[in-house]
Amino acid sequence: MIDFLFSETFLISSITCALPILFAAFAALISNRAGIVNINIEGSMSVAAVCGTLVSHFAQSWALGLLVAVVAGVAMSMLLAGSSLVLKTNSFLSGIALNTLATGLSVYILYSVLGVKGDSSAAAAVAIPKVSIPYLKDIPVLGGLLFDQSLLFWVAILAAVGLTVLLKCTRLGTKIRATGLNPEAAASVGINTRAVKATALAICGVLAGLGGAFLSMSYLHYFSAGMVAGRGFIGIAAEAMGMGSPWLTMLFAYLFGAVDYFAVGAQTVLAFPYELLNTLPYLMTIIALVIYAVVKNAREKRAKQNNKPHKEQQEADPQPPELLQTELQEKKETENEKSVAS
Amino acid sequence: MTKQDLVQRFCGYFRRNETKSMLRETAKLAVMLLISLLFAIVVILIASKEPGEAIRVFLFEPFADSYNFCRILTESLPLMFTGVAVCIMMHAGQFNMFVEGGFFLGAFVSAVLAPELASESAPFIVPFFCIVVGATAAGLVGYIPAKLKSRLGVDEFVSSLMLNYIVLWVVLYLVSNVCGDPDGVNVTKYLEDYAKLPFLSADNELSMGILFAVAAAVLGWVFLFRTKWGYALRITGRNPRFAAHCGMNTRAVVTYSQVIGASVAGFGGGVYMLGNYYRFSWRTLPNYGFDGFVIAIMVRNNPMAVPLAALFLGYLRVGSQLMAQLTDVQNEMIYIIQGLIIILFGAKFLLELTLRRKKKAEEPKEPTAPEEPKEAKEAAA
Repeated sequence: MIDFLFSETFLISSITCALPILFAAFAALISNRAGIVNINIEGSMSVAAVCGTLVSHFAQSWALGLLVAVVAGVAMSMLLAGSSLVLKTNSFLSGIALNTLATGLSVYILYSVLGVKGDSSAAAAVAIPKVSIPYLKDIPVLGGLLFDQSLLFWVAILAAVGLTVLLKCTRLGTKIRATGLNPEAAASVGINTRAVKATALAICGVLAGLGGAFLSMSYLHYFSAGMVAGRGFIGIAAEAMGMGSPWLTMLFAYLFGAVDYFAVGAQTVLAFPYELLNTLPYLMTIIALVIYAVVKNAREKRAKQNNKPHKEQQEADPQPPELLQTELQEKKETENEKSVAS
Repeated sequence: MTKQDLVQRFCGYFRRNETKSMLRETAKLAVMLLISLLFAIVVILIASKEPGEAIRVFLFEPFADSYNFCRILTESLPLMFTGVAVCIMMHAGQFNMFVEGGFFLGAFVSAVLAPELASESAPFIVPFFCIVVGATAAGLVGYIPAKLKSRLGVDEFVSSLMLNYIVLWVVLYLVSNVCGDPDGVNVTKYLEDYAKLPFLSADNELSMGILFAVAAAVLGWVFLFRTKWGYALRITGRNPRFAAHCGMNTRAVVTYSQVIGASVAGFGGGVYMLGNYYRFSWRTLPNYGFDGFVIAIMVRNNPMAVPLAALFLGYLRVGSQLMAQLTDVQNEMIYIIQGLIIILFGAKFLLELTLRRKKKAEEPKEPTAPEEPKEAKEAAA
């Protein structure tokens, strides 16, 4: 058991399990920073996964598959942008809607191309290649860890660097952060918040697409219905705990990945029902959320005691849900009618 | 208290302007439903090679005979329960997804208990009791995300979603290892007829659960709009700080809204299981929780209108199932349409459009208003 936990395979496979969660978490990060709650990452990932693997199979090219997966991810994100920014549906509701849509759409695409509904194992994808560097990969632990990884591992690292740079050192990043913190203030200094949000969502879509592609073109070589299995949501949890920092987010995503792999890997080592092992990633997410909340509350309490206005307190203020506003509008409407009637 | 008082009191439950606004809501709903039907037709036109036949089956086949028609009722039953559950939680401002897990758990618990407890001498009471136990179980588990939210501020959306998966796997474990049927694979014991809810119409496989569903919708409405708890819940949902300032226990509201929602969903799961199944054989979450959100959005969180919206979705589903059987369009199309429906119904943009039109319509009315007193004077003279 302990051998298993400290084995090289555990370390490396945990990274493999962490990658989809990591991409989801990064996707959540960029959209959260722009002030949009995007819970559609799960749906984007499944649509991207099915598109990627099918294109990769039929074109016999992983690059094309990856590209199409990314495009599919962006398309799903743009649907969210359309409904939440143009139609002004609450972004949360749009997310739920698009997740529902994605559940159907992914199976629908699968069926209309292959004529089956369960999975596409009959049409195995051309997998995304590994980047193995001839001599370096023979270094005992480090070799397997760094120099024999999927291409997307490096893309993930690049994404972390890219996100950090984007958010801290570019104009767009500043605009995104400003929009996320206070959209009215950002708009008042001439930032087109709608465009900024749409851009952030597009980046979010790219990342979610990469995550989906990893699932169906590297982790497995085919798509199966429901294969995302809550990873998009676990990614959101990882992002919440990473508190907006790409590197912290990465750490938590890795942790979740490790638990994820433990649930799979321990089935061979432990005589424990696999159904209960499968609950571990989800249980771990809840526990982590609780710890995060406790720590945050304690910090806020301390800040209150010190009597300093704390930044997080302002952020913690619940924004009035948009539903409320529509309800208020309705009320006004009926009141108006009453006054007219009287 | 005289009889007249009683009648008046009863009528008080449906005040005049409320009825009026309800009528207006219904009219709006009808228009939206027509638009979503159009959506469906467009999707079919894209997806099918023989769209004419597909559309005919989709629209008219559900009404073709009494069996198909009762299928609509059966399909809409789980949606009614989850719809009411979501309405209650949305009024409190809680985006809790445990409706899904609660429904699953309620179905499982009642399916396990019913064969053990049922006897031929008590056909209705025992299944009902099992359903109540299932609802309680769902409520108890639903207490976890609720308490975490109210006590620690843990985001109920993510935690309840994760809880769904945990419930799923634990139930799958229990089914295959602890309380499954030794003669079957991954199923619970067979439900005899006396262990199930009686059928309203056995030929059409319509159980009496549909009556419970309608009752749940009415009770949900009474709870939200005619009780102290419901009032506190709505105010907290609209403005938690205001509610707290008025001395309402907002933490308790956050907790009990979610627990009640989960129990309603659990109750629905039990009713659906003991009404329409012969054993528990689900291997995945049935997705009714998310459907509940579709319903709640369609009816703007008014439980009274839930049966209507649920019947509509039930109709769409039966239509699309029949279409999948008889034509080349697949059943999954329904999810695509549902997604579009949520976006459409949730769109503030469309609401603004109707508001604008109303304002325009109201403007010319204003000059006519002063005329009324004149007429009154003349009448008096």
